[in-house]
Amino acid sequence: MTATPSTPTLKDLAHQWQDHSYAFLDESSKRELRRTMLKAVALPGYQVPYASREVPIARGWGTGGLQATLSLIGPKDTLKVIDQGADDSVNAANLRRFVSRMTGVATTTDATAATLIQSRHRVPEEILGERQVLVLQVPDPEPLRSVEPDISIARQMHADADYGLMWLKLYEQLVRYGRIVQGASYPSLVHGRYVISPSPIPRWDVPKLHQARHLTILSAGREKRLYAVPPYTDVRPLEFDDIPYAVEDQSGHTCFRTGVTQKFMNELPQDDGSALFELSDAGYGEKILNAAEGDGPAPERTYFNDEGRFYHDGYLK
Amino acid sequence: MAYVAARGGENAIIESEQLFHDLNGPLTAEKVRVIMETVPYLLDRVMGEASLYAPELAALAIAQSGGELYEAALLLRAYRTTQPRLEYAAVTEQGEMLTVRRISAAFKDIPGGQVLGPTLDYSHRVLNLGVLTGEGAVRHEATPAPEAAQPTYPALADWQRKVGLLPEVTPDTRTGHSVPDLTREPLLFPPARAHELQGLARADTGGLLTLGYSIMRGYGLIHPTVNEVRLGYAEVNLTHPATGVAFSAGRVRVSQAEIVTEFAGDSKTPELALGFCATLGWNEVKVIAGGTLDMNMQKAADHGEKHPAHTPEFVLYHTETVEASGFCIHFKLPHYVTFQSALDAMRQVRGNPQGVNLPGSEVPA
Amino acid sequence: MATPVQTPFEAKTQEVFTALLWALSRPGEVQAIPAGDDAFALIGETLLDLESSFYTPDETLRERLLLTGAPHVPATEAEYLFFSVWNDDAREAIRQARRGDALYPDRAATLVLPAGFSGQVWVWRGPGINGEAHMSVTLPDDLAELREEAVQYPLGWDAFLVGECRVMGLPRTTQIEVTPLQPVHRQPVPIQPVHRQEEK
Repeated sequence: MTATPSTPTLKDLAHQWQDHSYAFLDESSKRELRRTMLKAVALPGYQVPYASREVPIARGWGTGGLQATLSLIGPKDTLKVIDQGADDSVNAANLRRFVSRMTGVATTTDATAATLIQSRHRVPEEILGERQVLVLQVPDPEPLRSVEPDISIARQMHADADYGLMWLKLYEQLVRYGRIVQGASYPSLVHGRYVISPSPIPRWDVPKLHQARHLTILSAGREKRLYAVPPYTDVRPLEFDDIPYAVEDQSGHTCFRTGVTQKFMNELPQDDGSALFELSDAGYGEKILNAAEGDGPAPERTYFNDEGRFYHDGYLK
Repeated sequence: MAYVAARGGENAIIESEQLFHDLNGPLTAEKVRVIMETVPYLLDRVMGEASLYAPELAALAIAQSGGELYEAALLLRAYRTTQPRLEYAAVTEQGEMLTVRRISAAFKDIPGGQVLGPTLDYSHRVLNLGVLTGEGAVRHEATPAPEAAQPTYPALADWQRKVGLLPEVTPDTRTGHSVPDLTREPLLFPPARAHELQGLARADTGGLLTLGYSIMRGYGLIHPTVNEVRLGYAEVNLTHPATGVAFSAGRVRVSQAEIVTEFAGDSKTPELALGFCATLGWNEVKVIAGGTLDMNMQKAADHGEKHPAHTPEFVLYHTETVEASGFCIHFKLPHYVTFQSALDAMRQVRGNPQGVNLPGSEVPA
Repeated sequence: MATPVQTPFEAKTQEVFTALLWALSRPGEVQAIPAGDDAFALIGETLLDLESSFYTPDETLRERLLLTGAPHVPATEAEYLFFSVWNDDAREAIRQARRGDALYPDRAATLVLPAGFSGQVWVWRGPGINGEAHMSVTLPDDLAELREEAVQYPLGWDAFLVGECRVMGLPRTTQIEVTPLQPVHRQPVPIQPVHRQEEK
């Protein structure tokens, strides 16, 4: 066919040529994520299915978090990316490099200076503020997976708010080990309705989502589910009346770099059979060291104080 | 010098990528051209799994990934994500496809005839060592048939429907945007039929073979017969979004298989049941395995049985090439936070919450 | 490789989306959306494409939103419903709007409605609100009743309340009730630059 000058050609209808769109995803992919995020905020803890696009990193390496970040981000943002609490972890460095390459946004290692934080397996130690978004990467969004691998049945259980099997699992741990031995990904009830996996953050980090000032988006790219904990929303780890939820015991651990106590620590085995401890939140550690040298802002208030007390009084028994 | 949390990681990953490419030699247009011209079945496999028909880009992806096919498929899929969807192609009917190979195991001869076409099925699997010892290039030239074969052939299933061996189907008349699209919608269960077929079309070839073979070998509900395997070229017929003029954007290589089984339906009037799989590119293993899985997934409900390979959720999730391979390699990522959390829980049970470094903490034997 | 830049359209939709996200995340707080264009149309262009559907009785708006590629469908089926004018037809359409089902409560409709940000003071409670918020807002007549009919959490619809270049979210999780207090001395919640770092 021949096109007259006024007829748009296919080339005209395609986007203006840049090697890539801003933030890599095209508008249609972003809209899918954006519609999904809005639904997720309106239904705290409910897993919204979405059409997860392939992005230029492998599935299972934060593609869900990355799609959320790319759909949220704009030129005014400041981005922080962490993996296991560290900004310099190779995967965090890779994701930060990619987003930065595709947007040119400013990046930071300071949790309270970022507008947008993408994280794998940690919530920062300093209290996040009201205009901040935390995007958590989620390998497995289904808290019921270990008790019901069939996702159709699990969905029905969520619909019925039928979490009996989950309670039974915790009870069986109690009987077998004398305590609940769930490590990370501790199942938690959001807004009194949906049980979520908070992603494999340690138990230390789960309370930080409760009545938080910031917005948390949890996105599983491979499993194609996205859910959210809005600011000021109840998040309650499942606990029995007589067996309270317990965070990881940090008592007696001192960060060998900063001298800080009562924060989530990495244990570093030593040749002589002992172990050193360091802050898992590397950006917080950096801030403490730099502030001590008069080279940067002072660290802000943390969720747990130096005595290990959580900032919402009475929340942890 | 201030302490910086983002210190070594970034340099390390840049250098490790350099090293990978360094060991594979330079990436050149010539290399891409050679790949494109010499290994069409490899391109087909990658394009099928990527669900993006673009031989030149597939050759580039293969060259750029050094032949790591999971990486190549991911490169293409990630590229696909960035492309706008301007229009939906019209439905291609089996009977309209330019067919170069079409065989049936169910009948000695079929309407339109068996067309053997290009295949290695009857080759002697003997390495052509002479090529290496200086006998020069080996050229194969097929002898033209005295009469040109007909370009199109009807579907065998149509004949079986006409004679009542297969149940009549109500044709799905949806077109364009109203056809469910797995790349634009989440996969939910039970899956839309279109989603299931699309999932098989872009599945990992090896994954479909493994699960399909498990059924063929002994875990199947029913015995598969290859009703028809077909290789051909399908027109990509589009309507110009602005002018409304219909045109063909070109032809793509496609393969498809119909798999049938006997004694489906009720016991008084048993009939055949049909499984189907099609994919971009020529890949007979994939469509035969996929068609067999499709038939079993459809029939599993009737049999009330639940072998994993009969279950859409199991088959479609676990053969998703990019997801399965990505999750597999993600276990290389550090998991020390989750490990630390589990260690804490374990030490609590052992009555040694602070770990090994505290004097006086005794680990029970 | 040059760093990609936002097209003007991308810049606009990112800004509108950010406002919508914070509107739903912080019900009872007003968010700014770009001035100089019809807010209903801007929201439509941010959310709609080929993969979604909408309904609006407003013909001008419909013409514009059809350009997104999204099909215009009956109110009973639409994912997004836009009512720039409030009347009986709007009420009737909202009665029929999707509320989702137990398995998929996300299949509920999202309504975009006209509102004013003065007048009656309402007490807002629920997720996104620190304790309770007191906010002056003029809701469309009968909206509270329509909402009561529709919302049986987790089923029900979510709404964006739009006035000029401002938007407020009313997700199904929010409880609102009229306060006996009059809006005499209360400062309106300042319109913050969206999605920007807090002033320290």
